[in-house]
Amino acid sequence: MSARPTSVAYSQVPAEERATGRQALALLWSASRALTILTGAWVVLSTVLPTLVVIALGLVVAAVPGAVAHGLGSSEGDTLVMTLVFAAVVYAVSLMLGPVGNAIGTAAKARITSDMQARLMSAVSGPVGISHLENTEVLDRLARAEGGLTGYFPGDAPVTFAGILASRAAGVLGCVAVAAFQWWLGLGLLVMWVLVRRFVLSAVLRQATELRGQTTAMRRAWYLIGVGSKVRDAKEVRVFGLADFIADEFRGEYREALATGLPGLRDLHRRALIGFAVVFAGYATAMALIAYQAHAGTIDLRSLAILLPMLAVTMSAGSITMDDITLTWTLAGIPDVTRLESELVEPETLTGTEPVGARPEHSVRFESVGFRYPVGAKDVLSELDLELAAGTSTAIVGVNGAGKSTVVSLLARLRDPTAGRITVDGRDVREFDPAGWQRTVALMPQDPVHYPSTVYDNIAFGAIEHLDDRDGIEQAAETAGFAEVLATLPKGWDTVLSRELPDGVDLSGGQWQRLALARALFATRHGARLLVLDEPTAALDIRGEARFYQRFFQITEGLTTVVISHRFATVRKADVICVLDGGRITERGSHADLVAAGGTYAEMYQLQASRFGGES
Amino acid sequence: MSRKRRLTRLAAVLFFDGFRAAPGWMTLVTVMLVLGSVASTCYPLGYRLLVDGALGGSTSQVVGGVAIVAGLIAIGWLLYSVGATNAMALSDRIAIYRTANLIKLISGVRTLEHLERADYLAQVERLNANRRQLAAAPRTILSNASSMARIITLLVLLGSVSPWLLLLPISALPPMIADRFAKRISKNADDDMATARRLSGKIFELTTEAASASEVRAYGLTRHLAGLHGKLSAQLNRRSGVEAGQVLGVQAVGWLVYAAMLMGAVAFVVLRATDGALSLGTVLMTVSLIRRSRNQLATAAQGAGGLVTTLATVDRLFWLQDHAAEQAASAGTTAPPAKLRSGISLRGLAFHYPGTGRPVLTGVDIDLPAGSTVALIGENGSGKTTLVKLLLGMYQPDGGQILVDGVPLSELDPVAWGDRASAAFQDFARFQMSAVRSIGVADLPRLDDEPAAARALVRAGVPELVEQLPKGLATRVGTAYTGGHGLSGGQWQRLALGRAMRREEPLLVVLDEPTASLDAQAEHALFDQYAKAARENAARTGAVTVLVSHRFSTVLMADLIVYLDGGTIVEFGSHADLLARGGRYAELFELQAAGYR
Repeated sequence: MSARPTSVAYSQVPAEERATGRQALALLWSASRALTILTGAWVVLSTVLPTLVVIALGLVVAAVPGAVAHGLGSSEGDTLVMTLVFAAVVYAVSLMLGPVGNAIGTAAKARITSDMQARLMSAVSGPVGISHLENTEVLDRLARAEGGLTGYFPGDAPVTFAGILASRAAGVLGCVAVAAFQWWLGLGLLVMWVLVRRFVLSAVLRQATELRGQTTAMRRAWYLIGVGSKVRDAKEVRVFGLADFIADEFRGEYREALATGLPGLRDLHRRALIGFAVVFAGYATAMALIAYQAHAGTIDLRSLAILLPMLAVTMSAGSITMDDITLTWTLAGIPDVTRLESELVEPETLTGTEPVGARPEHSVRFESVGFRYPVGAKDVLSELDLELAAGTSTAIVGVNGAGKSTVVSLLARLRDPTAGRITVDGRDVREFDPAGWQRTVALMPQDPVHYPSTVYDNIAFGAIEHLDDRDGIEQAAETAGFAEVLATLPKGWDTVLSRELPDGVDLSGGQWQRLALARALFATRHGARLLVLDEPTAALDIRGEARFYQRFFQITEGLTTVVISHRFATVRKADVICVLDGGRITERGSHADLVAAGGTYAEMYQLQASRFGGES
Repeated sequence: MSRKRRLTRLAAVLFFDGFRAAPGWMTLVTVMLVLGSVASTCYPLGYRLLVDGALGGSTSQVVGGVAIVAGLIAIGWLLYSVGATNAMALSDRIAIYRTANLIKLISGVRTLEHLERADYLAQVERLNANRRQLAAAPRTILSNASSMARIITLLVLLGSVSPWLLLLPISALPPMIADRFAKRISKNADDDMATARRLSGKIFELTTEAASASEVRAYGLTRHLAGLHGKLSAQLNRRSGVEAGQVLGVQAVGWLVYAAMLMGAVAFVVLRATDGALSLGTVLMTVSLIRRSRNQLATAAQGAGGLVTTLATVDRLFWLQDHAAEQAASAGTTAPPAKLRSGISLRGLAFHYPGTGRPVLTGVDIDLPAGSTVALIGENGSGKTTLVKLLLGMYQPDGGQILVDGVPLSELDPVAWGDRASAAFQDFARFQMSAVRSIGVADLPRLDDEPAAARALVRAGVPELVEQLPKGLATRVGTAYTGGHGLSGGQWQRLALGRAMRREEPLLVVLDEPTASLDAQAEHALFDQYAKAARENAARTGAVTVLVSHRFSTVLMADLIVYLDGGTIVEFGSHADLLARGGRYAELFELQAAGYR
């Protein structure tokens, strides 16, 4: 998990892959038609109302001289009152836009976020194996699309976009209103705003994305914050007195990251000043012309009262706000979803449809299997031949990094060999339905999944279709040695196993390991025929380990078992022991055979056994 | 804490630290905000000049009006456009200062209570998660000040038209009250949804992280989990829809009342004008001012709300600073001995984790002679790791004492004691920097000393690590994320062992299950080599080595074996002694040995 980035650079996304506001709206459309229509109506009203308010109030002001001349009781006075009421209503409605926008935003965000999550989950669940989940590019895309890590959620994009759209449209409409009085003035202002906005916005967005482009220096700075503030490294940070060192390193990395943004910042300020000069000149010209016409009497008071405030309204067509920046950040994840959906598709050659049935009846064989990780420089496995006879147990031993866990993942089709093949009763495993084959394998991994649910469910997840097989679950728990843990739990079977949930508790590593064994055993009760145990006793104490290997035969009875372990007390119980070294099996035989042969196994075993005065 | 002192501290954290962290940017942002408030509020003043001038024939008034409106609108636009970027630039610079201080604060406390005790940790985590608020505070204060300035400017302008208009700020109350209700509604909704959100997030994680996705596939749970996620989503969507509706209702009422009051003010101005009391230019200006007052009020209300949440974060910061000061005040000042003569003695040591009632250690009494290797064994929860933390000064015992050559550990200078201790843990750190530094952090003055790092790896029995790294010790280690070379778990462990061996004159070396994931051969090589290093340390400085393990292979090399159970010592002695005694140790040893017969 340490490879999981905590934040992802927007600037790493190629420009042609950046989402547009239109895509954001498409997202909203698929999440909720009703909300999309509502958003549309909101945009229209938000466009029109600011202009309408200005016009209404202008009409009010323009009605004043008439009322002054003829008194409030006159028809001119009535006009004034009428325009006032009209302005009040329009104004009140315009004030509703904010709250309505917020409400749409809240509802839309919830829906889009859950939609996005569901799409992402479905996309990454597409491939049979899991190697794509170790690919940095896929992980980057996931993190970006999900948004939780950057704090900018695609769910916020449509409403932010709608806000920008409405604000700009209101400005454009203001220009149109001005043009209704003086066409060239309205047009001139519009052109000015569009040009000025474009000129400055590019520099703002560059600053917002590339500066926070989360360059390597920025990511290192973030990493150092974790070192200095999380319990993870706290003990060593204290033993070695690293507080000041970490703080200084952090400061250095962050400063370096910021320094890259300085030229851009200067460019932005230069552009903004040019923009300022243009806007000032444009406005001064417009106002002077209006004043001249007012003086000459070529425009009337009503026009004047509307035109002047309207000039300020046009600014929306050219203003740049935090929303522009936020939009870019929230949009960043959208193309990643589509890319993941289109790319994470398993080729048909790897997804057979043949039902697995009660296999293996005879054996599972690795035939000249080779494997290399996508980013790896050398083969982890090469020319590996291994036969797992049905109904027997096989232990795989080897030094750290020999590829033992890789063998397990190939067996469960979590990865596919890069050379050779794996056969089941003589047929290529890829001919079978991959999901069905995976269900045939009851996998007890080194680090079992902690489902945020009850003890009962956590075991039942070994075969979820048989949730109501209470006997089976109890028996699996008993065999796995979990029954004694159960007695210590506050609510027995109904105890929730997550500290993050109300009344939840957590188990120790050893207790989880027993639960994971129970889960695997429950799966074997309902059709799984291959039991795969990856370091099943690593987290158990001496008594727990002794208990496990004493029950080894009971646990593996009738199953085809593969066990990986460093603990020779467990290993020696297996029918066949294979030594994995340099990517292939170098020794194979029973414990007695291998010890007698005096090879690597004998040497490894004696190293441990000698400490107990054990025979060789 | 006195009220005055608290205010001074608050002012420093929330505002003045901004000038210390980034004087130039702070000044720039201040000037911009002041200009911005004047500009955006005052430009309607130009309308009056312009209209009255144009209608009345005063050219100078017209020119003044044109200049004021055009200038102020252009300034407003300028500041608005670069405002967000400059605010980010400022808060980035304050963040450097603030975060560096926070790192020093969190990791400068020698004890671990604030990171391990659940309620304290929750405080630290929330402080850390919200540290951006602190970086943003000086600017928030500035913008609050500027919105206050805008409101005051607005009132001055309106008051000049009629003193009655000074009552206008009352209209801000209904939306503000509504906002408070809305916040409560949202908070209730968040509380209601917290569990479902956490669950659906967890399901997402399980499906998308490689380790858990493996098991999810093996048991065919993908569809089941997607179904659960869908149900939770529907529940969340419903609840947030209700929330949105309720908030909308409350806010709509607030703004409607506001609109009524504002339009009342407009009517008042217009009616005054019909009496001939106000010029047309004044009417236009006043109506413009009133119309725009909504923006000022909304900004002011928002800013105040932002500060309230920041205050909670500041309180957490103060709490942590006080905690750190308390720890520092109780620290001793005596220098540790250059060489251990008698050793480390534990006298009636008792300890329970603060905030919990259960004692972890009680009446632990034993001498760890200078130059000896001591193995601590016992089952999970027997207190081994806790004892180690006490020895390293990460917690203070509740009762009894740890004596270093007769001097209580609490009287020793914790930093100096730390400099003479070293350790490797089962959950060792993976410092992502160059390999030489990842080892060298144990001796900061000679951080980049490659020969010293290489010697440390030899002492740790893992010299082969150097050849496994593409650029030797200069290799930056740790994933593509920080731009380094990825290491296997075993390689990280070797690095941690090298780090533990890096100090050349330790008085105490702790190895808390550092070999738990090593294979038999690697472990053997390590211990052969390690025994030699321990003897060298013992001869030079009388160092005590403490090994924590539940593996007998490790325990066998110790001079003294201490068997802990339930926080007390049940047996101790050499391996031969304990076997001869036929007690608990002998029983466990037999149990494991049986596996090899």
